[in-house]
Amino acid sequence: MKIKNKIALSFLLQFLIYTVIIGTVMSFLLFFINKKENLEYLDFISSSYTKHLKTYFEQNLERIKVVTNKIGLIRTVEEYELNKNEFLLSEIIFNIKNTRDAIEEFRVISLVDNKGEIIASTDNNLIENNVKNKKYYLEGKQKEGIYFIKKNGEYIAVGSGPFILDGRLLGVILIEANLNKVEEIVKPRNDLGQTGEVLLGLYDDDGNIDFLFERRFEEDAIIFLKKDDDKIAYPMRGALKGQEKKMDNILDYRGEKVTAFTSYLDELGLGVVVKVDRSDFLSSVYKLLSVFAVLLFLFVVSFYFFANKISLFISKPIEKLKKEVGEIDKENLDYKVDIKGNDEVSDLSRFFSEMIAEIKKSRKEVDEKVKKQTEKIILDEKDMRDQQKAILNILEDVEEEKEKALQERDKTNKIIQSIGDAVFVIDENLKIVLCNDVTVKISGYNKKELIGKKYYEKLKFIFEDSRKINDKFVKNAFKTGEIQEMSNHTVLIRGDKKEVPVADSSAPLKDKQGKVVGCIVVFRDVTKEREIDRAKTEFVSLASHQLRTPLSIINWYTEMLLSGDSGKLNKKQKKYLGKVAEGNGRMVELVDSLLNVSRLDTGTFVIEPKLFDITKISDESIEEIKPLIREKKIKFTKKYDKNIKKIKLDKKLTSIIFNNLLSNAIKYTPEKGRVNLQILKNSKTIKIIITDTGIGIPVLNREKIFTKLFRADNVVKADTQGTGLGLYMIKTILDHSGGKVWFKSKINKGSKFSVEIPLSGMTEKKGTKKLD
Amino acid sequence: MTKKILIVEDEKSLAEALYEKFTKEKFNVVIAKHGEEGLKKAKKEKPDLILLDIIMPVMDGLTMLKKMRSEDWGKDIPVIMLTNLNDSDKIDESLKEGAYDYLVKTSWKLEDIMKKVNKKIGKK
Repeated sequence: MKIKNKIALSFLLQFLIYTVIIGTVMSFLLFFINKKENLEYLDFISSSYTKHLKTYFEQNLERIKVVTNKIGLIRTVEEYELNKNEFLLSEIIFNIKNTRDAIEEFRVISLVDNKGEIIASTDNNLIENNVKNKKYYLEGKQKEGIYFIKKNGEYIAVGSGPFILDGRLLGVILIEANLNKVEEIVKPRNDLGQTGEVLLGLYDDDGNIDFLFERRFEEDAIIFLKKDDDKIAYPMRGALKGQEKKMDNILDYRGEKVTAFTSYLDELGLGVVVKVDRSDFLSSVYKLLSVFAVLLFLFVVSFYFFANKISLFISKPIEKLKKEVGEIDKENLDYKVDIKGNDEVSDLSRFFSEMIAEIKKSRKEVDEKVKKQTEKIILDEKDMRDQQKAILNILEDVEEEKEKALQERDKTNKIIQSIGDAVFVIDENLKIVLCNDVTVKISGYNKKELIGKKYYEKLKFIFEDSRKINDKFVKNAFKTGEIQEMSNHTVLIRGDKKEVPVADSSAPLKDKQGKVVGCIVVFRDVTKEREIDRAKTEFVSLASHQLRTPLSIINWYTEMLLSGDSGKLNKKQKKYLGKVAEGNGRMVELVDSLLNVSRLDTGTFVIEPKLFDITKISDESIEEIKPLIREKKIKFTKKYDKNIKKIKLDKKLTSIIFNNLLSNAIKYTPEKGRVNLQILKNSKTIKIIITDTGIGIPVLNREKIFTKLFRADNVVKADTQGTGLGLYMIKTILDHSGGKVWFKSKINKGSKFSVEIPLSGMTEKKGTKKLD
Repeated sequence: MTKKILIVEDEKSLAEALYEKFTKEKFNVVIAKHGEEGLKKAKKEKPDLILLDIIMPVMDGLTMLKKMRSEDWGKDIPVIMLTNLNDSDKIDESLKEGAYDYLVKTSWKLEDIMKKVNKKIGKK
């Protein structure tokens, strides 16, 4: 900003500050004085209205008293009470009509008896009306009073007073009067400006605020004044609460800010509010202030011109100096400043000339320095460029590696996607990180639904028979770090609730330290395999049944022949028929075993444990095999621990175990050999041990001894009868019921088979088929 | 008094063997080839005991048993199931319908069947 303007402005500012301070103080003073004056005026007006109203109503109470004390009327009423005739009634009516006509505001006068019934009235329509519950009647029995009631949408006054003769209440007089006189008092508002008014309010029968007369701004009244709506009409609320005070800056019935004086006419229940809009109330003050502001503005404008002139005078030499220095600025260092004179500005000019010489000298030095620095910067920049190049090369290498890794990942992905089985990979939080299309196909969920979810939230593997969640294969993979097989008869519940039988395995994923960090689960839909399995079992079952019919025929007819009923047989015939019967018996056994095996295979057999004494089951089996023991002259011994108690066993299955172990031991032990059966009780198990001095199991066959239809080499050679199903059944039963079986054997010396069943008993298993 | 026995069996050879055995033991034997015939004959002949096969044409043994038990005349006739089927379901079902016993043909000699019957209804 130019010095010229600066000077002018500083003058102006100083002037303004003083003016504003003085102006503000004066305005406030004016404001308060004016306001106080206005308030005092309003207070005066208000109290004069209230006084006026009070006087008017007191006057009217006196008028009621005059009526109730009319002795002539009282006498007539007394007489009428004793002798109800038309004449007396017409006299009463005549009397009250006269009274009504005498006073301008009176409209109707009625006489009420002690029962509240109107017996006489200037208005015939009112005769026989009952007013016994009305406040004006009830209170009118005691003393004179004035009440306001609404009639045809307009308030009227009702005056009442007791009619007493010699201390006895004869009735109540009721006087209806119009409120024209009251309206004349409050309506003119001449002394209340543009917005002021006098309000008379009361509580109506419902307890809401109502006003005796139409308000000045009836159209702006924003709400019907409910007693609980406390948001506006504060002055009247206050008045009706009996408050007599000044209220400034308060909301009236229109929601406008007003200044009000309130008072309460106790005996009438009437609130009086004299109020003026606050804006109106203060308007005179604001007018004064606006005149003041205009004056101030004019003053400022004229002063500005004056200040300008003075500043121009001071700033002229400075303007010239500025121009000369401007020339130097344009590189023209040889320019001479030429200002003559003795004031401060001339001195300043001389200093400039000296300064220019100094600047000339130093600029040369600076030029040299800049040149040197620039050279250095150029060298540095070259270095930087070389380094950048090297970094870019490294980045390229990294990019290549990344590309390779991506390709590898793609390859792996493609391999996983093209595997025929379902494959999914979970991390250590059991969340699915990868899955292939077959997983999607079998499970019925799409990839989006699977990836990132805990696998068991979507892929629900359950055991087919118990319907419990099967998560063992995953848990164990994490726990043991070894590949786990899914147990038989696992079912996957698909997204559409269909069930798919599945099989396969889970393999742990390990990091470099060997810690399991995830798991790969591979499974496949085995619906087809299951169907084939089922068909096979059904076939075996049916075939077994059909096989039994011809076997029964052979059985029964050989029996009949042997019994000699159809003619006596010679010894040879008997011997041959015996062989037929024996062969047939073996066939029956084989069919039974086949049937059992088919049930064991499909897992549909039942285990129903009940409390049994295991030694009893053992004894029964021994009893059955005794003929064979005798035949082979085997030395059989048994030894049971004494403290064996009943445990939960499936009798049928336990019998199968004993039968097969015993018959094996006896079958594969040469004549006169030894067989021993022991039942021991350990801390947690019952142990069955059967030892024999038989032919033993060849080392090469030991692994396969428990597999279905397998028979050891030496047994086949010896041509002993046997199906290859017994040990398979024992193993399968014990696997399912929580027990186990193992053996030790020495070829040609004998074998020792051990079976363990937990003391807690066999595990229950629901199924559909019992074994024979 | 001679006891009357009804044999319901579709396999002719088996029915014959039973007929021979029981006639020889002085039983009055009636033969039926299937359930429906068995039902008719049982109602007509009022046998003292019925030997009942399960798998048969026209009407199987269990259906016959159920129908017979639903009639007044058939409520109390003792029935022994004599069959080659040994599903636990069938055994349970027969016993529930009031069969006295359940015998698997291949496991039982004629002699033993005879003893079983005699034990139930007494010889002659």
